[in-house]
Amino acid sequence: MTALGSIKTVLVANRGEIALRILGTVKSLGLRSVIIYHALDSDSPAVSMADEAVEITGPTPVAAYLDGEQVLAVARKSRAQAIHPGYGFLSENADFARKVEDAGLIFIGPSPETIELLGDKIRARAFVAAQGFPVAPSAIEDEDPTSFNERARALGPPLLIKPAAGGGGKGMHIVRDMALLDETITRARSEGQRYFGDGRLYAERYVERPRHIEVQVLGDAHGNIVHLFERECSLQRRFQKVVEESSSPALTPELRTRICDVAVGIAKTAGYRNAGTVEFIYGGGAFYFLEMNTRLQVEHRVTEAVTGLDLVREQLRIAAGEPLGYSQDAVAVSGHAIELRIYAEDPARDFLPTTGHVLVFDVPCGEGVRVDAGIRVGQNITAAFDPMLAKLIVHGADRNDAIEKARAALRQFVLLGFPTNIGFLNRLIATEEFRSGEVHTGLIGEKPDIAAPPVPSEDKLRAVLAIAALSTRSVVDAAKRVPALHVSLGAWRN
Amino acid sequence: MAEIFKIDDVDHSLWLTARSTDGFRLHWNGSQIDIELLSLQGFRHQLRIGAETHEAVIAAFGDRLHIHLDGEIYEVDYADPVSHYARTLGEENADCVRAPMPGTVVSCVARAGDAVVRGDALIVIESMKLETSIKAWRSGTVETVHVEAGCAFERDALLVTLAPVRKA
Repeated sequence: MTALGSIKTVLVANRGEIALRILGTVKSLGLRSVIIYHALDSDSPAVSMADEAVEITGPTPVAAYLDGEQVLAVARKSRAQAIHPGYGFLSENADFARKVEDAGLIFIGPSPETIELLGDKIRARAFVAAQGFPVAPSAIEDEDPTSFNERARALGPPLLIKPAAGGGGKGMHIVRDMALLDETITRARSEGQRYFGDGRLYAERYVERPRHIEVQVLGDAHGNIVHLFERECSLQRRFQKVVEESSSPALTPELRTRICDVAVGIAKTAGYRNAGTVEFIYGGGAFYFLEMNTRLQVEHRVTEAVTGLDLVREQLRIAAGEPLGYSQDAVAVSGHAIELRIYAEDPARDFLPTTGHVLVFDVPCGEGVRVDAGIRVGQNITAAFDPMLAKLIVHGADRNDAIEKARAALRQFVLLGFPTNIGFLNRLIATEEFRSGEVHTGLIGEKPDIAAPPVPSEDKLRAVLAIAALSTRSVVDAAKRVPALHVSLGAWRN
Repeated sequence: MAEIFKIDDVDHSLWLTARSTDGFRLHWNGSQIDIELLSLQGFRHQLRIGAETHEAVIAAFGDRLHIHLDGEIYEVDYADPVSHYARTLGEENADCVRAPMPGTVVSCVARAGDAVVRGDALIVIESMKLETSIKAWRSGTVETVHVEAGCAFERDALLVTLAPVRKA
């Protein structure tokens, strides 16, 4: 068994596609792997792939994965030197990162202090603004709770109300009609309290038709920081990303240099170590700092596709204390990559999550086509976890080539058992708006006509019914029981 | 006898006859066409319909068929004729609302006996960490609220029933 610095065994504290993806790199480096799992995931591919799998329990499946004490106990017992938190769950939990360090283990991510500083949106924003980097006009409840509603009102519409401790778009609301401001604040506070145990809010100017552009950064323990260029993640529903790509079709070379330089500047001032993402809102020619994610992102694969780097490998090397070993000039982009998130959801029913058994799972393959998934046939997809099941990542010579590859791959992507967004994704990337690169975070909401599949033509309907009839034994048997003679006589009433 | 297949809540009536050679003949929508389904590998099949061929992936779960055809998914339910005709009698003019997805009840706004106007919030539910109000889909009187605050429910669970409207 080989080692990376002091790391011989890595505990993966996550599930699904990201657990599998991290395990892939851990194994390729010749390191030993351990995974935690809840009973619901006992037959998942990640559990079979790890060298050791340890069951964890909790009042709910999600609570089990959030239980830092259990994760630490597994790490000690399985003699892991490092813990990779993936995304979600414990990945941005400063207390957990501190406990890992206190236990003499390595948290694969930034220091607890950095997570504390950047994980709190309000503090991060104040820090970034104080360093002279651009932020959107805002009102922070904490500064003076009694005047919060008034200060929010003074910013004028449209406004975005967000929980201070939030993430993933949960509890976020846009206010366009200021008469609804007080009511919306009350609702956002109640949601923040329930999801994050923290009802503090902040309000900021909402940029109409904004684009979400983020910059991937890597920092080592020796103060070296590079960026790996940007990702455009403007196609969202419910404030959650659906399609991501690199490069962004919105940026000129000058703007790209500026936004990437600002990201590196923010990471440098924060003393950032490991992989992180600086998110910006871009609209009307200006960009504002939104937040920094102190972890690996779901969409890191598009950056890997265009830069040729393995981000998990970089994370492990950095965690082991190795220097980056290359400078900014050595990082170059080749071609264009697009990621499409496959969700168990019904776009025609307001993107509500769907549940069911995976009956068939047959993914596309080919040059420049990759699928990351953590599911297997027979698995029961429940509402217990996030509805994202898989990611399709395509890499093409240029953006048009990548779009064509994505369209072909989506048509070949077979996931049967419950409604998914696969057909919707294909309609989405076929729109004129996407093809021309004119996207913004509200675009999906403005295209209700592509939410549902087009009404099938009569020929298509006939083909579907023919398949259904031929696949139903009693229907076929009934036809077979009728003597051919009667058929030929046409003795059938219509 | 005609067989009933349901796609997106629309009934389609059809029947098959066996051909003297291989395959069948589909009778649907006033026309007939020769059809044949060949098994390729696993769930993959080839449909021959008239002069055309299509590749399809087909999986069955209970009475529901999941069909992947030309990049789109179709869910087709087979309604065996006896229960089909029984059901259409019972479910006319549904007076109840069912859960669109699994979740929990945040609060019950309406109570049995309340008069509600179309659009009034009946209960507030939380599903996948989002709050949604279940609103009255027509005006009327609340007959039963089947859930209470804090309780969890599965998809299609009965949430609220309005008193049936008397037919004039």
